[in-house]
Amino acid sequence: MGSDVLFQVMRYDPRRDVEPYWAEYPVAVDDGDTVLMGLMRIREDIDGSLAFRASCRSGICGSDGMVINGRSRLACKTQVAAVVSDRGRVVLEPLRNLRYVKDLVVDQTPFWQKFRRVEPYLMPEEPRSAAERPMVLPQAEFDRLSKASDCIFCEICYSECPINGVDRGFLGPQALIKAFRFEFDPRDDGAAARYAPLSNVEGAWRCRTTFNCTDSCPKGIPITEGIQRLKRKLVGELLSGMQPAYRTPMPVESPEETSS
Amino acid sequence: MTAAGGQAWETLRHDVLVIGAGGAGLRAAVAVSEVGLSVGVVSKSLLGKAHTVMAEGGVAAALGHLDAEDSPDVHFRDTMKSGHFVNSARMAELLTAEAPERVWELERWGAVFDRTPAGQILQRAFGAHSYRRLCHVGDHTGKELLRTLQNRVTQLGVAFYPEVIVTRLFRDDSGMAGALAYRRVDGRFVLLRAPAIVLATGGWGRVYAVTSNSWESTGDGTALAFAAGADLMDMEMVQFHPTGMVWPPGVRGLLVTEGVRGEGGILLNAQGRRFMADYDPKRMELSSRDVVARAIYQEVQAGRGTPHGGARLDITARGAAFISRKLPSMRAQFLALADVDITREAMEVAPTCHYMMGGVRVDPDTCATRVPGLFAAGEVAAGLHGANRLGGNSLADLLVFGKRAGDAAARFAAASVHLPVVAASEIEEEVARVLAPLRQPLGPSPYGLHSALQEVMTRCGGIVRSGPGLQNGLQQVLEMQERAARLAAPGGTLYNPGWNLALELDAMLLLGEAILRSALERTESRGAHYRTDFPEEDAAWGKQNVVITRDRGGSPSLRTVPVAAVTPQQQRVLAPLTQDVTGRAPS
Ligand SMILES: Cc1cc2nc3c(=O)[nH]c(=O)nc-3n(C[C@H](O)[C@H](O)[C@H](O)COP(=O)(O)OP(=O)(O)OC[C@H]3O[C@@H](n4cnc5c(N)ncnc54)[C@H](O)[C@@H]3O)c2cc1C
Repeated sequence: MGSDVLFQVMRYDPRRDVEPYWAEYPVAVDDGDTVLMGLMRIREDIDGSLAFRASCRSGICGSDGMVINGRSRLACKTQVAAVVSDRGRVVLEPLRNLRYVKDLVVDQTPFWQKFRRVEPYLMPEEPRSAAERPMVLPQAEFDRLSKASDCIFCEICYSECPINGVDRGFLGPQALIKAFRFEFDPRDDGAAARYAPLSNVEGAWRCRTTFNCTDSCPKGIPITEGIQRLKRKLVGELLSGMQPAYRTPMPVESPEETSS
Repeated sequence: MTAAGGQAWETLRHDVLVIGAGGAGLRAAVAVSEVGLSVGVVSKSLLGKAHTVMAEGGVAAALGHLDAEDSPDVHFRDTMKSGHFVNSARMAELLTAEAPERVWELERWGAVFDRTPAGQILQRAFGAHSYRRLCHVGDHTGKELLRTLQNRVTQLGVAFYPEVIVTRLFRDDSGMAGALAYRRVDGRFVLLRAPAIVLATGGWGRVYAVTSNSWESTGDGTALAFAAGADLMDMEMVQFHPTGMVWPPGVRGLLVTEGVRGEGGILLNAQGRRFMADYDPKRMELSSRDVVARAIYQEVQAGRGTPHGGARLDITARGAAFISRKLPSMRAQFLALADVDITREAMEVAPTCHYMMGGVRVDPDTCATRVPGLFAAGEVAAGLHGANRLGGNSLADLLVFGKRAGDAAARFAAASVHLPVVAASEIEEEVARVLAPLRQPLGPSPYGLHSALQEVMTRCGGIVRSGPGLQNGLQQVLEMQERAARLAAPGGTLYNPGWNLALELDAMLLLGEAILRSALERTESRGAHYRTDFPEEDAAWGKQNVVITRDRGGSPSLRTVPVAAVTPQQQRVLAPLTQDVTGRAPS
């Protein structure tokens, strides 16, 4: 109760600082306090301009992903006590594989562009008329989709994925699990439209099954498994002659040009 | 790019501007886009992060899948009764009639609600609903609803501007002219020009110290509408959810969904007594929110509270498998945040500020405010819920009135022939106002002032109120408004949360004042509004709403207006309630 823990935070305001630097803050921490609570105290009592994203404080909105003691996690779901033991302090850095904006905030533009590229919405087999009553969906089908749609857009998988680190164009685990969500929906008929962005050297095939995404997902979504099922489906479409082999990468805009 | 006092701004133009990307805003944007007009949506946060994502229990729609006797009429009766008859009967009628179609439509867009064994949408029981009525997805209904709308706006190619914060609305002679905003990630200003604007900015729970709301809920839109000349109504009606988390301090206020009680959870005081038997023996834990919240408050006041000042909520009798299936997020929330396994132990809970029934006064059919071209839908709007909101009616509200506001704004924009103009001087003035806290060398900290406001509102304008307390609170809030003019937020315009809060405080201080003034005005107790000096419902007040108008000097001026008359048809539907028109729970 009320013991002081050292928070070491990477700070960087590109308009004011020459380069990123570490700032250290002793923070009074109660039993059960999360890393987010510590950040709030720094902001309220020491430096009101410390930048991080946060909103629901309960792991639902997925805003406060950051690298905590070396691993990408949600600050609101990480107990100070659980991480402080390994380094004697809490070390905070922005998520990886995306451009810095300031302090613990990164530019998410490429992440959202990739999400949009997989056409993440239901494309029903035949347009349903407004008067038509909803379909009947068995529980088992429902469970499978439900888990995949649990994603909270926290970017932790994107930050932990080694391929995203070396290949800017790779769609990344989040966009692929979104594609899975719709490709395996029994009501969906969007396979032809999604084939181009998915069956691509920057698409599903790029995944090297390191399982970093699955291991780090705060919602426990089996992302790697989903991506492999996507690959199998794509092979099926290829072999059945439904689709041509796809080789040319999709052009990728650089985040500088497109940040909005 | 245009420049003002060394500051440049960028101009964007749409037929309709939607402010807010929660359920109401996104549903409105879908409506505008579907008729082929150009729509831009701005939001303080990124796509899919709005407060709506937190909603748990479900969306109320009388589908009658489990209880064939249910119907929109019964839902209408429940809504009016829960609102203690100061709500708009027309809005309640529209809500209950249209909610089923809005829910089915979500499934057509890809949502998957929990199923009955026959594969239909499953519905759960919820406090003060006569039948099992809430369509749900486990205990993360808001997330699925928001995701579905998010996917839908992506499909429609709606222009979305994340982390763009509106600070002022501009009018011209024939309607709205636009809004000024700044981008959080670079501090640059944006002029959004549009002849029609839909406000969908949500609630303002953060004026209270203990709230279930997300950190975005600061009521900016309500203050923006007021400044533009719209009326506010029912501001005294603040819903406290009976069950918020109590411990540890960092999670204080986080909601424990009513679904826990819906699925069979019981409330016990420190002595192990199931105390709801003393307050509402008929409905017990499923009584309306105000009754349950005050019951817990009174148990704690009487010294029968738990160590951290709450009650115990126990669902262990249902067994681990059932709990894990029906309430997975709740189980995870308590494990991760409080180290409590709810399948084996009771939770510790206490009331938390949850929902604002009051807000911008609108036309029931079109969501139009008094200002031509300005529409409001969702939690920011007033009228539907009256003195107390039924659980599940808010998500239904977002869908039904989000669509209606979008439709009406689209019609307004299509009919408007003028090209909206905003005078450069107006923009320059606003830019200077927004930048002021950054240029103030010394002054009060926005964080300090915010917690002072929260403390006063909780103590003086909270779950139990009195004339002298409200008066005292009002004095303090007025003083804070003066201090707010000198707020200092050091740092630049680049992602500076202290600066963001300084601007949000303007709204919160105005809304705090509006709550206290309206609560002083209503000299009775009704629904969520409870005064120790007027503990009874007063029939005369049951026919009045408190409305706040901006006077010429810009200050709030209060008046009462008669509650909209009930039509003969609505009267017939309400007839079964006539023996109990007060809407109070039989005791
Ligand atoms: C924990 C919890 C559980 C709930 N469960 C249920 C439930 O089971 N059933 C139910 O019916 N209701 C429930 N509610 C209530 C319901 O979730 C909310 O009332 C509803 O989501 C409000 O939605 P909205 O679209 O009006 O606004 P919000 O979702 O609050 O969205 C507001 C939007 O406006 C934006 N905004 C605000 N100010 C500005 C500005 N100045 N500039 C630009 N953008 C701005 C925000 O960024 C955000 O995008 C629950 C609430 C909570 C807190």
